[in-house]
Amino acid sequence: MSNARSRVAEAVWRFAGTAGKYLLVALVTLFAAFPVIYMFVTSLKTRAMLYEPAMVLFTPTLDNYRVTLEKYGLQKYLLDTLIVALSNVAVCIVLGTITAYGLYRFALPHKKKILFGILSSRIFPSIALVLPFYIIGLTLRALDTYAILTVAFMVFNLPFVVIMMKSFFDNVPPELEEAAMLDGCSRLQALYRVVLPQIKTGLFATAIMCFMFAWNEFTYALFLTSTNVNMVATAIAFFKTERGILWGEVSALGIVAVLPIVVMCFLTQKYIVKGMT
Amino acid sequence: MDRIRGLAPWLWVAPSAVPLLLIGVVPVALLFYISATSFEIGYPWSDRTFVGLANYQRLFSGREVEFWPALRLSLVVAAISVVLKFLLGLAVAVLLHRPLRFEYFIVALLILPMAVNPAIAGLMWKLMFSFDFGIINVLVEQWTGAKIVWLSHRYALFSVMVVLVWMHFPLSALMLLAGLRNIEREPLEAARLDGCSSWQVFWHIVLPQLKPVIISSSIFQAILAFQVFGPIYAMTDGGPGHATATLPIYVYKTAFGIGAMGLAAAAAVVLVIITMALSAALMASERSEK
Repeated sequence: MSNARSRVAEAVWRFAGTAGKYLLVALVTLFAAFPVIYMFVTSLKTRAMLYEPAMVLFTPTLDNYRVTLEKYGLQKYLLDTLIVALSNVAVCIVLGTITAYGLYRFALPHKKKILFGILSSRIFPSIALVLPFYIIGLTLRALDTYAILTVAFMVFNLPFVVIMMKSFFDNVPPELEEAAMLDGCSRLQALYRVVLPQIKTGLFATAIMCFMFAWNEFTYALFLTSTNVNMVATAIAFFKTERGILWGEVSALGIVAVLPIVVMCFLTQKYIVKGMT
Repeated sequence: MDRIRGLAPWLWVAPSAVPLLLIGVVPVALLFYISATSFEIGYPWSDRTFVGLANYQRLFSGREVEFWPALRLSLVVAAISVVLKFLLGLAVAVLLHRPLRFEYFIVALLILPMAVNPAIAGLMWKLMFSFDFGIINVLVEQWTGAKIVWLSHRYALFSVMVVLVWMHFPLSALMLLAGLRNIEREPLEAARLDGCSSWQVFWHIVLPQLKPVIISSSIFQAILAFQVFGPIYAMTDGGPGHATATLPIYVYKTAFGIGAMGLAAAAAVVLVIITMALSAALMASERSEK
């Protein structure tokens, strides 16, 4: 009897443990995601409803989104962000892949040091590097152009591509391309036709992450551009009025800026986790 | 490994080594140079004069009254946030290290804080902390009967710290989780068979094995904490007063607010040196593991 009772007690405890664990996981996940959710809810409210932060049941309105589009030219910010991010990703992927291939394929002297040098340029604080970039932009008359952001973003994205692609190349057996070259391919053709297809998921994930980094960059965008080029995040300034921040509009803008990233986050989560750790 | 030596390999590395050198080395060198000039925004670049170490003298002598407080605040923010990120990260890693249902979904939501634009993240929290429109004050009012001005002189630093921990704890969690999953199983089983409580196992066997990951993730978090700019800019802009004016905020206000580029560059160099010292420590800790 007592044996059976203790078994029941054990099962209850185990269930309580599991339930408790899932409860804690739910709490942490909520903590992580809540600011995004709250901003989304706020973006659907009218100005009067903002004074009731806890209100959940209301008729959502898309007015804030319409106003940011019609009155504040949200599409222009989105287009600018897209242009900068895409051109930066294209440049970094091409240059970075070639370098990673060179590092993987050839016996270079000081290979370790080169890799470290490449990696270390990634950790420089952007608020420090933005000063010389400002001077460069000033003297070359390149401030407030797509070009200066595309180049400045290479500081963090190019090393990233090299490191990621090097790790993918390391998993490709060298015999593959040797066979292709015996069949008459040049080295570049072998890379393009034989090696790259092997690692195309990795290449794609790297490109997506670069895009996310570029899309999310703020410091360079804030100080190197002003009126011609406007990245989404720097558009915040337009929503501050004398009466304070227009939270409905700002929330709509924030959600539009964050949405593509959230989608990409879900699609490439596995690689993001790998790339970060 | 290929036998090709000589020029050919360098031709492959050059396409990105040259731009990397240009955009990695040139700006840093230029930054050091600016810090030795009197350049101010609004004047042509050719108007600068070379002043040697005068900017550094001004900073360290305390004549720039906001510099030392900014540096001290950055140290405090880094120290406290690193500890909090570690504790929260470890708790999450322990929760996640056994297989979970919906793990993919949970991890995707957990890394959201790092995937959101830092300035927009600052705005999200400014909204959450807002006196009238914030959800946090709704809860606080229900519990204590009064609202709190979260971005006031008294609470602003606390609020900023919450955001920084929120933004970067997933990174600690993921690094520690990877560490937990690499731990050898046998000593754990042996200790359990010997009658150790799970707390003893964790304290005496798991934590010592995690030590390298704990050290490297903490140094990495310190680097991030010293550099953080977007969230503070969007939330408080260093204020009210100087309550949240960390070193990056000081750099930006000196450079683009006052226009004293040379002075700001000197402060930025201090930031670069802190970063480099921390990354050297990171390298050393990783080398001592091997």
